[in-house]
Amino acid sequence: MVSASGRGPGGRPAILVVDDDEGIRENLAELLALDGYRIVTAASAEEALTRLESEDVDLILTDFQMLGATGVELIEEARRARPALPAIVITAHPYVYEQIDETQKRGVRLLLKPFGADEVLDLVASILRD
Amino acid sequence: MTPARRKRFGRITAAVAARWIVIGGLSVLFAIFVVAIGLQAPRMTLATLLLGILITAPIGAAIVALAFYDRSLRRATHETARAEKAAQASESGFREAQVRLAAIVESSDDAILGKTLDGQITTWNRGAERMYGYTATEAIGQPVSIIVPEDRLDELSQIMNRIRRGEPIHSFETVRVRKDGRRIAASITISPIRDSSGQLTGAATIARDVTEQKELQRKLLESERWGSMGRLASFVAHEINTPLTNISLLTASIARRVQDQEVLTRLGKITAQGKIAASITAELLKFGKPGTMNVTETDLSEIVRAAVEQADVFRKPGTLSRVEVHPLACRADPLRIQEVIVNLLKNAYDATPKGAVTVTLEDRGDFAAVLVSDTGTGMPPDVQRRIFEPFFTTKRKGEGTGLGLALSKNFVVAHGGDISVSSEPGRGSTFTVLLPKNAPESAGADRPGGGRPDNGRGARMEPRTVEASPPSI
Repeated sequence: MVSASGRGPGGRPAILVVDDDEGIRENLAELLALDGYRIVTAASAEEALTRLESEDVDLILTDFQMLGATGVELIEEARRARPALPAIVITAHPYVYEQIDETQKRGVRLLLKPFGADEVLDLVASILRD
Repeated sequence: MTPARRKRFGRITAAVAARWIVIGGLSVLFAIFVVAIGLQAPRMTLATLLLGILITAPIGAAIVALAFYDRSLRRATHETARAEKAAQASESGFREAQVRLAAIVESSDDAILGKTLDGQITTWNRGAERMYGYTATEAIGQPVSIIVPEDRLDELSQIMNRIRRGEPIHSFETVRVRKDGRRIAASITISPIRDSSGQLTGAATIARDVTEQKELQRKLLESERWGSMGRLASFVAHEINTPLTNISLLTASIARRVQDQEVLTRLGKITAQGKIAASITAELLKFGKPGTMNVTETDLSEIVRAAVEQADVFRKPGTLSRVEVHPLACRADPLRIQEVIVNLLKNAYDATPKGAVTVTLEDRGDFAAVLVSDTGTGMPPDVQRRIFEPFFTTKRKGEGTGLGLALSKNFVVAHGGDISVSSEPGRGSTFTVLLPKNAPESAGADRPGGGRPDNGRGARMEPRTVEASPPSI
């Protein structure tokens, strides 16, 4: 049985990285893994939800615009089972993101492309610290 | 006599009556002679009988002749009278038609002028007075070349040649010049005029001032072209951001796996280049946001102060920054105008390694002006002419996209304003940003003497669009 927090043995926080761009997905996964996090990856919102059925995570780091459902829709769905799950949305199109209803964006941090490694690592760390 | 018969034989005038009296008298005489001869015939000698007939016959002939003469005379008179009446009727009908036509010509919005085959102006309607500035008195008798700019005189002679050959000219777009020297775009139609025998006697020109129209067309075309360019730039920028992110992440990932200082130094350089690329896309994206312009009443002095502060990072140590502003309101999107001014300041600082960059505000009637001056390198005229062109840059490769000024100008023009530059190589440059003080629809229309000069169409002017053209500096 998976514990309420995603922290498996060793207490490492788990991060779900979702992006249909393989490059970003793999790079982020590698980077975050190097920083000590446990990583679960998915190439789409649907795949991510499937993964969430058997795994628990402490943070969702997802691209906004993907094939199929958007990152915001994914977060909404995921929060049904786990309300207040922290989330970061990556996007290159802030304007489109701005159009989304505020209620859906509660507790979601925005990360704008292009971002550097330090940026994302700092952001993740600050969220998971709390 | 029946009315019909009266019509046929015309009115009874004194001449007619006199003729009838004569005919009557002669008839009586004739009758007497005939009766006398008839009564006396058996007792007369042949000679006397012959004499009697000789006298009577001519009288009879005279009567007949006179009667016929009278009839034909009266007929002729009647017909003359009828012809006269018909002529009068058609003459007055003609005059009526003339008056009506004249009224149409006078009241027309378009300029309508008539000229001889030599090009001398013969008629000049109110529309022509408005369009060209000359009154009818001033224009009539003058050669039509007074309204033709020098560089179009060749064209004029070609037109006149065609007219002399009887060829009309339809909706020909050209340039004309008003009495005050202002050049206007005109669409003209010229038709040859013939008299009743088909001879060419002159030409009639109908002209319309299409300056406003052409200006709108040009701006529309430009904004369309720019719109698609902006979208392209936006798309490209967004797409590039993804690989840029990958580069950044990968570089960081490598950096975490190596100890070799040489490698780490070079990785640092790659990251620096990545940051430059990111700033370029950021610049592209900053201006390319779809349509969101929050135009509001705003105080330029606030925007300027914020811009100067933001741009201070670009200032070189040897350069002074001077700000001379007072509260000045205008209608603009504060954030975007701030970006524009920051862009101008950055350019000014780049051009001025040692000297001063000054920002001042000026009240220019319908417009508020922001002037950014520097004592830097200045620009030669051919650079000045092209400075607002997209992708035109005087900077070295990698130091700028060449889009800053083009985008700035696009912005400002979308506000209803304009940016212009004056510069002297070696002395420095001054960029002037004009922003409207009022919402475009209200500017000028109800302010006597304010705003754009009335083109004479008064109340019939179409509502002006956002692309008002400010007074040239």
